[in-house]
Amino acid sequence: MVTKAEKQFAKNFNIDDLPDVPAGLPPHLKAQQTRVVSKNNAPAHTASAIYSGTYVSSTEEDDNVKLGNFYDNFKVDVVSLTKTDMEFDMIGIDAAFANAFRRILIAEVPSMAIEKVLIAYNTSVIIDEVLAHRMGLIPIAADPRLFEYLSEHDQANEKNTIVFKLHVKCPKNRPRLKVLTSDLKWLPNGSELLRESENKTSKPKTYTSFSCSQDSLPEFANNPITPCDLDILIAKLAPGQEIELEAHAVKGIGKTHAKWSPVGTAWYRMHPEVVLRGEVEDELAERLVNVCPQNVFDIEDMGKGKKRATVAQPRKCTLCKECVRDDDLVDHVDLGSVKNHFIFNIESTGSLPPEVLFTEAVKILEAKCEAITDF
Amino acid sequence: MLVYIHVMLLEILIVFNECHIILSLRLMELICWCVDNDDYVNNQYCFQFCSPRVTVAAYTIPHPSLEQVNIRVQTTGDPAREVFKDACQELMQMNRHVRSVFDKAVAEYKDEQKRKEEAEEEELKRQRDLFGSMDIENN
Repeated sequence: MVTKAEKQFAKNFNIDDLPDVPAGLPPHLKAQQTRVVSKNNAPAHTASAIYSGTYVSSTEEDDNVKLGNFYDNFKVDVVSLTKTDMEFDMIGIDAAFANAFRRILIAEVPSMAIEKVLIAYNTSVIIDEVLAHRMGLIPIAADPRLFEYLSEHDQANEKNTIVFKLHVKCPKNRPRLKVLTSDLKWLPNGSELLRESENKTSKPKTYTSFSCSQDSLPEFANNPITPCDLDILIAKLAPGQEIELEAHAVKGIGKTHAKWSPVGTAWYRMHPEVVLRGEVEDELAERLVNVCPQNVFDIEDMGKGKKRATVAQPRKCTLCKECVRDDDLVDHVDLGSVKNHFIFNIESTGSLPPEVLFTEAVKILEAKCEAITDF
Repeated sequence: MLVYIHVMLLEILIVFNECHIILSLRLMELICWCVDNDDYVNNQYCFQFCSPRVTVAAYTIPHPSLEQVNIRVQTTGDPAREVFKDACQELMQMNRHVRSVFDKAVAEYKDEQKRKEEAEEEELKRQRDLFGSMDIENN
C-alpha cells in the first residue's frame, strides 16, 4: 500500500538532488574544457569549444559559452601601468578576442609618421633615401584622432599633415656633431619650401596649403607637436657637413607600414598553472627548485629537518618544461594554462598612452562588426 | 567545396541519432561572401554561433591572396541571415562590455596609485618633521 508520505516524496523527487549524482561536469572533462595541458610532446586540449553541445552537463551553471555568463564573469585586473607600458589580466574571455585585440593593436590602430621628406641639402655621409627612411621611423607624439587620413586626391592641409623642419650644420672648427630628434622643429604654419614653377610671374607655391595655423587649435596651443623621444640619433655630421630638409607626417596604420604601428609590441600569454602532485620533499625538492630557471618553486621548512617544495610564483612560469625533463620530477609536476585567463602586455611608442590604445582597438573591432551587419 | 562540406556534415550528423538526419533536410543555409575581412573576425563567428539555433557555423578562405571569406551558417529553422545579424550585434555588445570593464579597471588602478603616493608623501613629511624636531633638541 502506497502511503501519503511516499506519494509526496515521489512528487518532489529530483534526480539531481541525490547525493551521489555529481553536479556539473566530471573533473577530467572540466579540466579538458578550461585548461591547456602542457605535455612533453605537445600541448593538449588547445581548442576552445565551438559547439554548444560539446560539454553537455546535467546542470547549466558552469556553461561559460553562454553570453550572460560572459557579462557576469569577465574581469580586467591592471597589474602595472606606466606612460609607455601596460600589463593587465583579462579573465573570462575567449582566445579569439584576445588575439583580435592584439592584431588590431599592431596593424590597425592609426598613428602619425613621416611620409614625405623633401631634402634641400644633405652633405652628410648618410645618403638621401636612408636618411628619409630613418626620418620615417621616428615616433611622433601627436594624437592621430585629431587628424584625417591623407588620400591620393587630397591636398596636404592642416587637418591631415604635420610639417617638420630640420636644419643642422656642423661648423668647420668644431668636433663631430650628433643630429638628434630634438633638432626637428615643428612648423605650425605649414611648408616653407617653395615649389619650382614654370610660370615665374605666378605666386610661389609651397608643398602644403594650410588655411590656418595648427597652433591655433586648442589641442596644440600649449602643447607643441614633438617626436616622442628627443634623443633619438638621426645622423652624425663631420665638420663642414650640413643637413637641411623638410618632413611631412601623415596618418596611417601598421598594415601599410610598420612605422605607423602605435605599439612597440603587443603580446599576451595564457596564465600558467603549475600543480604539484603529491609531496616533493628533501633532496627532490632541492632539485626541483634548482632546475627551474624562473624561480617558480620555493622550499618550505616543515621542521625536524624536513623540507617541502611549494609553487610560490606560478605567474612567472614560461612553460619551458625544464622541471618535467627530469625523469624523477616528471611524475610530480603538472603544467598547464588557463584557457580564458590572458596576461596582456602593451608597449606604446608614445603617441598615445597604452590604455587609450587598447580602447581604440576595441572600438575598431566594434566598427568592423557594425560594418558586417549592414548587408 | 560545397559538396565536400555536405559530405562532412553527413558524416558528423550520422554520429547523432536519426532525428538529426531528418532535421538536416529542412535546414536553411546562408553562404556569405564578405570582402575585406580578416581571420580574427571570423574566428569569433565560430565562437559566437554556439547557440541552439545554429547547427553548423564555419568559414573558409578560398585563397590567402584573395580578400574573401566564405562563411556558412546552418540553422535549425530560423532565417540564417537573421541569426548572422544577431551574432554580429552580440559581438558588438561584448566589445562594448570589454571596453567599459577595462576603463573601470584602469580608473580604479589610477585612483589606487594616487592614494598610495599621497600616503607615501604624508609618511615622508612626518619623518621630516620628526627629524627636524630631533635636530632642534640636539641644538
